[in-house]
Amino acid sequence: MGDDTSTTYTAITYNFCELAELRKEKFITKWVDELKDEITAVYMNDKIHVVSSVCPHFGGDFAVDLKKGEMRCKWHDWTFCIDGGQCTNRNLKTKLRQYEFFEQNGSLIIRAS
Amino acid sequence: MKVLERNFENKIDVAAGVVMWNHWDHEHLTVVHKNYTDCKLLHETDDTIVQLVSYRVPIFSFLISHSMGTVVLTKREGNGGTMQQFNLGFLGIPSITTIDIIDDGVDHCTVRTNYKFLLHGWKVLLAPLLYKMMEKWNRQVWLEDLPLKLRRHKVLRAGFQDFIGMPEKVADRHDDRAIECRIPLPRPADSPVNSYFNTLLKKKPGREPAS
Repeated sequence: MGDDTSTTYTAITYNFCELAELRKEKFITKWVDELKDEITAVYMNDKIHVVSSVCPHFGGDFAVDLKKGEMRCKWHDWTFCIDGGQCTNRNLKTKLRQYEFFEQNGSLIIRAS
Repeated sequence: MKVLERNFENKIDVAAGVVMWNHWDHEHLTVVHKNYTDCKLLHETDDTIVQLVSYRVPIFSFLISHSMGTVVLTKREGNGGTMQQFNLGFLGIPSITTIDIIDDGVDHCTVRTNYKFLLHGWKVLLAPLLYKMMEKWNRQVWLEDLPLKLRRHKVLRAGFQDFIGMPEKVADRHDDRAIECRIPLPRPADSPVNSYFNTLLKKKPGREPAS
């Protein structure tokens, strides 16, 4: 008998939104039961970013500021860079969680494990 | 002297530990609540704070009042408990606020708030006005905090960890354990509520987050 403690995680894909809708709205936020996370997709400077929109501080929700390229927590005013996920106004090492995604038949598909 | 007293009761479908967290999270006051304009801590231990707060007076929101108060966690019961706030605030009126957070079932609790205002001399005439102010204040603060508590409960049940975020793997995003609240809440040294610790008092605040 070996001491195999490794865990296998199954890949999950989730159809988050229509790309046309995201380009029009600039950002879309919703709680995704399948991923047990609130996720924000942002269309900014012709690029798409998909991040967890649960503030890593205490779990707050964000306001999106496209001009500054930041997400601002509505609970404590902590701000995070959308592009890299770093906190920009507090000394915090944790970044916003970024999700992998791909485009398929006009939809934005998130991939997680 | 006249003692003006009012009681309020609210029920909520979140763990008592979440309500406790909300009461000891001093950083959210000026961001979430319209009436608070400043909050600075002067002293902080695992059951007591001394704070200086500035706030807009209910009904007369163009007036800003300043108060120095002490909040003491007088009783721990399960993940709830009782805290008392001793304040000298609007027009120098002393007040005592007692908040009971009653853990009355899985992910459900009752919050009872008792306000006592100690009115001396001519300030007795303010009793009818203060009576209305207490209701407005309690209602507004409760409604402004409600979405925070519901969300905090939801993300904790999905495995959220403070200063880390959601678990990396989706399969790990669940947590059925009792939701506790350890006081004082961890806070980075550069938090605005710490500014008097850093400048005026030259001492360290209650607890910094683990690095």
